[in-house]
Formats: sequence, C-alpha cells, structure tokens
Amino acid sequence: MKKKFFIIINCIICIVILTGCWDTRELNTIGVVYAIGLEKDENTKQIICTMQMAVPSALKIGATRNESSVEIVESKGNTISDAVRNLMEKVDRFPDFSQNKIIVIDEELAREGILPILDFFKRSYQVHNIQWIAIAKSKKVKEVLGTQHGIGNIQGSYLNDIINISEINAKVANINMMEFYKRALGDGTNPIAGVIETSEEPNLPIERKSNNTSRGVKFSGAAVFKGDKLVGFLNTEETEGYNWIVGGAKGGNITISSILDSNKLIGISVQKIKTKIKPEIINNKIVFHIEVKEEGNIDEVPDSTDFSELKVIKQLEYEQKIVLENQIRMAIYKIQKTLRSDILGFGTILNKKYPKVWKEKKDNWDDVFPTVQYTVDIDVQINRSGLIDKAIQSQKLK
Amino acid sequence: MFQKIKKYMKFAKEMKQEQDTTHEANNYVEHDDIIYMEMDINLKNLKKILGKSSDIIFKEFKIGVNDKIKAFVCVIDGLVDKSKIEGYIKTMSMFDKPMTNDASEMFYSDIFTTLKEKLLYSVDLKDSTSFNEVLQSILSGNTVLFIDGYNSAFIIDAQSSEQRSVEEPNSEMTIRGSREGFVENIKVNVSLIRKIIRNPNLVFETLYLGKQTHTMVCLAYIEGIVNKNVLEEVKRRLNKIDADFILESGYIEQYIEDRPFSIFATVGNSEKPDKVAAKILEGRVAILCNGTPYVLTVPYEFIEAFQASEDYYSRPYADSFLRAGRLLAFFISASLPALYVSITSFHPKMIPPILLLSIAASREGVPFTSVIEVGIMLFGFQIIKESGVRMPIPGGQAVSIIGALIVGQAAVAAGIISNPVIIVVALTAITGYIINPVSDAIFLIRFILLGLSAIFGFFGFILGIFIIAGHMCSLNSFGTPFLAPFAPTIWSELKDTIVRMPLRFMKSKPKSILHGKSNKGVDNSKEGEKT
Repeated sequence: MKKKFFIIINCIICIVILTGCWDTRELNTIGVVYAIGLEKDENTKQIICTMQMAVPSALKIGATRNESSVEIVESKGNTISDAVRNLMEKVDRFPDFSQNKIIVIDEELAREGILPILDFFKRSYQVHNIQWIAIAKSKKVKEVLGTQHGIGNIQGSYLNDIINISEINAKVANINMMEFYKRALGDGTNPIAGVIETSEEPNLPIERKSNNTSRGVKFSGAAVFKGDKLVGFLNTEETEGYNWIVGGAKGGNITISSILDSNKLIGISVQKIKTKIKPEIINNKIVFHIEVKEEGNIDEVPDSTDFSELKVIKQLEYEQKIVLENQIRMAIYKIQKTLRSDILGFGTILNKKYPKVWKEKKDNWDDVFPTVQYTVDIDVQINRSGLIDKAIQSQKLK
Repeated sequence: MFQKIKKYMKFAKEMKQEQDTTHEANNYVEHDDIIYMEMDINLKNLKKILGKSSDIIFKEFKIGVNDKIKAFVCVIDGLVDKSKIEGYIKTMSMFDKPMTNDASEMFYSDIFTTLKEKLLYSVDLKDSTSFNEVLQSILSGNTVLFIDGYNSAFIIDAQSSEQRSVEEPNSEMTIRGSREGFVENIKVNVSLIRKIIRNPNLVFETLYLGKQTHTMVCLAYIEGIVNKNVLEEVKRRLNKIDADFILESGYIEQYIEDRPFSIFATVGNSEKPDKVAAKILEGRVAILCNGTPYVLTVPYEFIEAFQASEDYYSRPYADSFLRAGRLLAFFISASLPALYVSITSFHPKMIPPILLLSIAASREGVPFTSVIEVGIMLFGFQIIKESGVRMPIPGGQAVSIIGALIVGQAAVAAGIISNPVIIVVALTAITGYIINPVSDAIFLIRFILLGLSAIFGFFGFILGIFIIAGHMCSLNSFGTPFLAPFAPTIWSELKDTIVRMPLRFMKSKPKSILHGKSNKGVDNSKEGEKT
C-alpha cells in the first residue's frame, strides 16, 4: 500500500512538472489564423505580417451574409515574433496558427532568402509542417489575402482548396513547408513554389454584386529558388514541361493539331505520366537520359478524325510526342541556361548512381549543372477516345 | 495530509480485522430452552417472549370429542392461511376413535403419531424438540402446534402472505426471451430457478443473516460445475457478516465484496431468472435474499456488464456489432466530456478546421469556460435524471418536458451553454443508459476524467485512463480477475467478449472461474486460519 501511494504521488508530481503544452486557451479567446502574408517595409526594413483570422460569429448558422467571415490584421516588427506581439496592441484575440493553411511571401522578400523567415513557423509547436508556401508577385501580398472569387467561406481555406484541386493541372506547381525545407537544404536539388497573382473577373447581374468586376486570385507557373533565394519564375508552359520531367502533376492537358486540318486542335488529357531520369557518364561527360511514359485519353476533337484506324492513333501519338518533347526541352533550357538552378533534382540522381563523381562535382555543381547534356525519350500511348470514335458531325462537315 | 491518509489506512485495516473474526449465529433466547411436557409451561414461555405483540395468535383447544388432550397453536396473523389451520383444528377436535375402550396411556402414546400420519395432511410437516427452532419458525410464518404431554411440537407450513406476482422486471427489459422476473418472496425465486435447471446437482443452501431480521438467504450453485474454492470463499464471507439487519441483497453485496473502496462493483446482480440460471450454469454462485427481486452472482467479471441475455437468444452476427457498440458506448459515456474540454481548450489543432470554427462560433458570447459549461450541464442532467426517478409517476412527465425545454432550448437561447456542449452531454447521457450495470462507475469516472482534463489537458486525460485501467486490472472478484478474459488474456474466452461467436463454438465453460489457480481470496483465507 505504501509503495502504491508513493507511485501515485510521483505520478501527480510528474504531471505538474513535466507537462508540455499546458497553457489552456478557451476557443473564444483565440483568433484562428487561416493565412499569413509576409513582406518587407522598404523604408524601415521591418517585416510586415498580415494575418487572416476567421470570425466565428459570421459563420454561425443564421448569421447575416453581409458580415465578413475573415478579419485581416496587419502588424510590423523587427522580427516575426515581434510583429506577432505588436499585433496584440490592436487585436483582441491571441493568434492561433494551428489551423494555418498557407504562408504567402512577397517576391522581394523571397529574393533575400526565406528560410530565416520560416524559422519562426518551424519552431512553433502550433504550426504544422504541411502548410503551403506561395509567392505573391510584385507587392501584392495583402491583395492576395484580401480577394476572393470563389465559393468557399473563408478566404484562407479557399486558397487551400484551389491548391488541392490544382493537383491535376500541370500548369501550376506547389510546395509545402516540409518539402521546401527538404529541397532547400538537400544536396543537388532546389525548391520551387507556387505563384499567386490577382486577376480581374467580370460580375454579371445574377451574382448580385455591387461592382462591375471583382478581383480574384490566380495560381500560375512556378517560382524557382536557388537554395532559399528566389531567382526567377517559370511561365505556365515551362511549368508544364517541368512537371512532366519530375512527375509533379497527376494530370494535365496536351493540345496537338489535327491530322486533317492543321488549323484545328485536338485536346488530350494526360491520365498517367511516369518519368525516369538515368545519369550516365560518357567520355567524362555527364549525360542524363530522361525517359517519359505517358498515357492519355482523347478529350476533344473538332473534325471527323476516325479513331477506329490504328494508323490514325499512331500518328496522333507521334504528334503528341513532339509536343511533349518540345515542352520538356523548352523547360530545361530555361532552367539550365537562364535560371541556372537545379530544381529538377539532377544532382541527387547523380549522387545515387555515381557517388564518386558527385563528390568531385558537388562543390561547383551550380556551374556544372547548366552544362550537363541530356536526352529525351518519350513513349506515348492513347488509350481511349471517349464515348464516340468519330465526331458526330462527320457526315455534314468535311 | 499524509498523516490523514495513514490514519485512514489504519482504520481500514482494523475494519478488515474486525470482519475477519467470525461470529456465531445469534439466538433469540439466551440458552436453548427446551420444550416441556406440560403444555402450560410452554404456553407461558412463549407468551413471555411473543405475548407483547398484538399480531401473535395463541389458540387453545382440545383434541378429541371427549376433550381429553389440551393443545394450542401459535401463528402470526397475516402470514398464514387461517382457513387451513381452522380446518386442521376442526379435524383434530372431532377425532374420537380410540378414546372409548383403551387405556388412556395407550392413547397418549399414540396421539402424536396418529396426528402426524393421519390427521395433519400437510406436505410440509415436521416435528421439533428445540424451542429455539420452534420460535424461529413461528416468526417465519409457520404454524406451531403444541400438545400437552409431549416435549416436541409440530411445525406446519401453511404460509399465505400478500405478495407480488411474477412479472417482467423493469430494470432489464428484453424483446426476445423469458419475461419472468424475480419477486420479493425467496421461495418463489428459488422455484423460478429450479424450473429452469432441472438437475439434481442444483443445490440451494439456506442460511439466516442479520441479528435482528434473520433474513433468509439462499446460495444456489451446481455441484460438479462450481469451483469449490469459490464456494468455500462465498460461504466464509457470508458467515463473517456481522450485521443487525439485511434488508436487501445490496447489504450482502457490500459486506462480501472484495474491494469495498473501489468504484467498481465486484458482485453482479440481476432480476431475471434465465440470466441467473445461465450464470449458475457457467459455474458461478448465486445469492438469493428474501425481500428483494435482485439476485447476486459471484464471481463477477467486468465484461458481464456488456452481455445481455438477448445476445445469446438471437443470431450472433448483428449481436456482435451491438456488443462492440456497447463497449464503445462505455468509452464515450465515460470520456466524451473530458475529451471535449481537453481538446477545445488545450489542443484546438486536433479539430478539423471547419468543425473548430463552428464550435468557436457557438462558444462566441458564452460567459463560462468550457469546463464549467460541461460541468453545469452534466450536473443538470443528473438532477433531471434523479428527479425523474424520485418523482411520483403523474409528475414524471412534467419533469421530462421542463428538463428538455431548459436543456434543449432555453440554455442555448439564453447564451449560457453552447450547442456542442449539449450534444456532448446528450451523447454522454444516452450512452450511459446502454450499460446500466456499470453506470455508477461511469458517473464517477466521468467527473474524474473531466477534472484531470480541465487542469492538465489531454495529458491528464490519458493519465486518468491509465490510473483507472490500472485499478481495474488490480481488482479481483472471489479469486477471478475482474478484467478476466482481457487482462490475464485467456484466448479461448475472447470469443464471448467484443464479438459473440456462434453458440456451437462456446460449449466449454469459462476457465477463469473454474480453474482459478491464483485464487487470491482463498489463499488469504488460508493464511488467516493459520495465524
């Protein structure tokens, strides 16, 4: 019995002393942050931290729709933690980052390197590792957090949902915090990140909005980093080529010209894409063989191409191959020659197969990478042509 | 504080020692009086003991038409079938066969056996020479006949008291299966069990407990199936009971249970004869007590709380899901309020974002912290429940309507309580009713966990679960581990726990009761005897 009591008392002492996160905060004392924007004040060199907090009472069933569901607050500070403290001078809720979806970083700030900034979020026990990191072009962080042209309730989760559904669109690239860290700190690889722009959309009467146009956000292309510093952007087509190489997208779209009439275009949706990159050393030169295996379905045909003939399919496959190869070569050219940043992970692949060669080249890989040779080998297969094999209007139109 | 705990432990130890000393059965009179040959002395003695009470009837009469032999009966008014006794008296007074010719000595020597064999045609008739036994049987409602010139008396069973008829028990309703329930009369209860188990090995052992009440208590078991160690232990503990009165089987339960200070009951009870019969057939011992329809069964395992008799009467597949559901209900009922409080006020990260916002939205404007909210609601629910039970039936409706209005609408509309808390408490309450046998323990666990989570968050919650689970593992019921098929894992018995296998796979009797080698309780008793 004595022993038992001793154990119980020990347990109680342990709880009191060793408890980890034991500060209790009631839900109506915290402000749930859904998105964070970071930029730099050019004059004072202070960090401007913009936070989007959800307003729970606006999300209550029966609340009026006029009330905004988010509140955007902004504060300046020498560091991010300083900015968060300064926030409390004017906001009545303690910011809670545990539900944060996205960190939007200004282009200028990103060019100076973003790992020092992300450190605050990496260190905090509240922030989870899989939140998205995106770059806002040209001083538009606040605008990105403050506009919405979609259906979701909270702008932050609206951004998150856009990123989630863009998985099957090869024209954009996205990265979460953990992946960013891995690629920024890893050997022979560099990170990319999503790019957000704002766009103008017309408003039609049925939408019952006061203005003629409303602003929305738009994801397009990718931001390319060298280490943790932003060096440039890829446009949508280059991003597509990049995604074909690294297998970053689950789907996409390829447009080729029709066999019958080269002015008309056929749309093919990518169902599966698999890429293997094999390094080889020929005459002391490093060559990468890029082997792409793609399977696609025909989505859209403007004329009476007859898919029941194998010959036609083969021809379409050939055309598709040329389009893919062009995109890939274009992307690699931009990445190698203009941006000179190994976001394709060639260094890592080389390290796996030729560790000795990698050791020699490691230190000046940034100079070696733009000069490496590569070959592209593409295998294309068209599987299905949808519910119809010839276009319906084939009788009348020729 | 430590000193207090020490003192308390000392006290508990003394209590236990006090219980260990066995007590002899108490008698009504100091020394066992004998029955005298002279009837008048017997009458005087009886009147001295019982005469003060107005419900005792002494009826003097003469046997035979010649009025030669004096006799008297003693009964308690209301406990006997008077017309039956009057019939006996009539036959006895009209008896006139041997009195004309033979010598009176012959007659005297014969009257007792004549009465026994011919005149008193009751099935339950015996004669006794012990004054004490006679007295006791009068008090239990038997009729006693004294005859002048004999130092023994007849005990005739002609009981007929008011009693409830056998009906469906309210505490354990079933859809399928027997609708019989035990009643207050122990003899009826014994017969209900006997009707189910027609086996010569089924034994009912009677003993009387309570110095003042002399309550009849019956042990029921099947010889050959019951573990003898368990039976010995039950008898030993029953004999040790030193109580003035036993009004209900709950008294016995509290005197014989292994751990009186545990929040878990280690003695089972049931109102259904088929359930008790099943437990006896598994090798358990049933303890019937006069005056209550609740029959105790020992040893008791935790899993029995989740086994309904219907599980075995209907097909096993859907019932297995229901069984697992009951275990889940136990967990929900015990821990949901604590989980809610710890997650919302310590770890909002763990809630899906949309749910978090809707909880936050309904918490907006609520003046209390979530612990106080949940506490108020749990307490309010207990009050409504209690008043629903205690209210006279015509008022019961009003309570439930007012309760529903206050809880469901007014509290939320007034902004005192947030909606999710209502959902949490409602779920807690409803699931609590599914597993009635452990509802007492759940009630306490709920508040223990709530307190721990309010102070230490999820960490405290987990710690509370560990403490409770550890405590449950340490429990024993008459030598059988409380968490029997789980805690000392008995693989062959797991087929009747979370799932219920088809009956054809469950032919063997539970091992945990039958072959309990580490029979803690029995070992202790042996040590006790040595010292």
